[in-house]
Amino acid sequence: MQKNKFSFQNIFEKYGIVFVLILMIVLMSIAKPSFRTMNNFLNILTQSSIYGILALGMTLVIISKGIDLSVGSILGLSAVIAASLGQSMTASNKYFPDMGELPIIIPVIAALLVGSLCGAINGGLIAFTGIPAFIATLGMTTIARGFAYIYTDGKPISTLTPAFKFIGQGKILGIPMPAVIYLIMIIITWVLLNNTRFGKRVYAVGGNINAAEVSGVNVKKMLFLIYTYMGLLAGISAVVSTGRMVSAQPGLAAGYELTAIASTTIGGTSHSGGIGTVWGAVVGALVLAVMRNGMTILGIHSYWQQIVEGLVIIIAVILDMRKNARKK
Amino acid sequence: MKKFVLMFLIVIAATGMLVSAVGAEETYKIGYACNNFNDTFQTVIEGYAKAYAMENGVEYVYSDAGEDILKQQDQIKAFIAEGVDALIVVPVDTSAAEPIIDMATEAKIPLVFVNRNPFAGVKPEDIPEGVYYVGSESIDAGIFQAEYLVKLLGTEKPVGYAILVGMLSNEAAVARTEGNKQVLSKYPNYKLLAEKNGDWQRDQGLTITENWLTAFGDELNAILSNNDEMALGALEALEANGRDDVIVMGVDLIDDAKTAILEGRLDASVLQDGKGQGEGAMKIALAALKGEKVDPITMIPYVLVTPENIKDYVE
Repeated sequence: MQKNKFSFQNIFEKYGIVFVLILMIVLMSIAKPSFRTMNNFLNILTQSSIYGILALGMTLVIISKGIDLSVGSILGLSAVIAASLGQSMTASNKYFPDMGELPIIIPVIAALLVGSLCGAINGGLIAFTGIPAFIATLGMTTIARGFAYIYTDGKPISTLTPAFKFIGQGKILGIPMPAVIYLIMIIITWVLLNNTRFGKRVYAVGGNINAAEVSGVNVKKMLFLIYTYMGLLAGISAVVSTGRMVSAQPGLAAGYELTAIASTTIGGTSHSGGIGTVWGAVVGALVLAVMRNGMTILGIHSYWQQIVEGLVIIIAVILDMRKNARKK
Repeated sequence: MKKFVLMFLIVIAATGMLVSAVGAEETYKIGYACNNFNDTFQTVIEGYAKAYAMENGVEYVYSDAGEDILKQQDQIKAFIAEGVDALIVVPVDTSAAEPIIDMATEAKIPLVFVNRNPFAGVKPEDIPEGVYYVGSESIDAGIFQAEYLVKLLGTEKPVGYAILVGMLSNEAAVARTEGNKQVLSKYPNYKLLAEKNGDWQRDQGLTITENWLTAFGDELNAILSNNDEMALGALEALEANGRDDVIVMGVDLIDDAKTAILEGRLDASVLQDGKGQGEGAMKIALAALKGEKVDPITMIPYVLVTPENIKDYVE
């Protein structure tokens, strides 16, 4: 009996947030029949994909005991550059007036390169100058945003090619493309974190940086790679959001870093380092998306939504800390 | 050595600043404090103000507050310390304009508010001397949208509509929404399904509309948006869901909105005359500096732009 009770508690602690998600979905489905349609579930998946992709990278960053405040700005900068290279011939305000329509691969690669480069700069600063991640990425936040405004002169870039639109609004086997891309990135990040030496080292760096160093982990190289990967994901997320709006604005995704950090945190990744999972980040992102979608459908005012979101984040962390304390 | 280099650089920088300050000719210097360059329409107004300043040999400096009240106050302080002769301000928050007015009055320089009206409901004679407003009556934009909606959908069959609201701290958002409701509440067949703030952003307009489609389905017949960016986001959501029957209207007539009206996707936008406001603000600042008599409030009228008259607004 004792043993059974104990294991139940274990399961609940380990997967508590999944139960919360399921409970939310069940309650919403009962309250509003329109919530439990396939179309709405696909909407939720699509809406969570943009910050969900960011949350995947944020998981690695936070496991390594870091933080990245610049992902929203990096997303914005990558998006406007990608959009400027992905305009269709019919665009009335072309960024490059004399350029023909480029194949979709070029703007996509450009976004990934810009994102990775910004991430690499973050990683380089953190690894080689030793300044705290909070400061390095805070600097990058305003720098990347500044470049986005300079690049666009503050104006949106719109009328993109049909291929770009397909990335944001198209479907494969009935599943929206943003969700497909999200799923692919979940799998890649999961494998990276769980099945590679790189992944084990991410945990080692966050768990005990000195021990990691002594056991031969090149900590500097690890930090550099982790932030570069985060930047790459911001670039991917930029492509998805640009496709969704078939345009990009220099101020796009302001504050998304906080949603990404919230998703990761709700999903049980610990800010004291060394603890965290990819599925946690996915569930955390879904919890936020279901909450936002559900409260809008219920007609709850958006100011209350913000308060509820804040409470959920705090409660999730309290539960996690209790769990981790007991383990010790 | 390091210290020496640092000192050396500081001395050079200081000398440079001094020389440039002394060397400046006797021209007017005007500071333009923008609320937020991320708001596309604001860059339009600012562009016209700047162009007019350049044509008239005015020395022009500008700042972007990123929608932060305190940051804007600091920027205005810096302008005054720099010695600008007049200020043009798009206030971040119209209800917090008083400190800005105090700063300008204390420095004894003219202050022109543009686009966002801190004096809504204030009598012209109660506006402090040397302070002006150039802009449009925000509520009109909402009234124009709603009246056009009634013209399109009539006064008999039931219509469900939703409003995409800008940032609630902006007078324009409150007043435009108010204008929508003022007209439509007179008709019993119009039902307000929801109103939600999308902070002027296209991505939020898109997400909110997706969720509205889930919540209201075919009940939703029209979306009135406080600006074009959110309206264009709503359009993306509607089109992705195959709902081209929903009427969508914005405000500002930005370039993307022009294209969308020409393509028959967007049903209407309300033009706030960015040129009239930007040039107007600069003209009034200059007139005040030259000691001419200027009315405290200059209203630039709105224009409703629909597929019928869009041709007049594209070159």
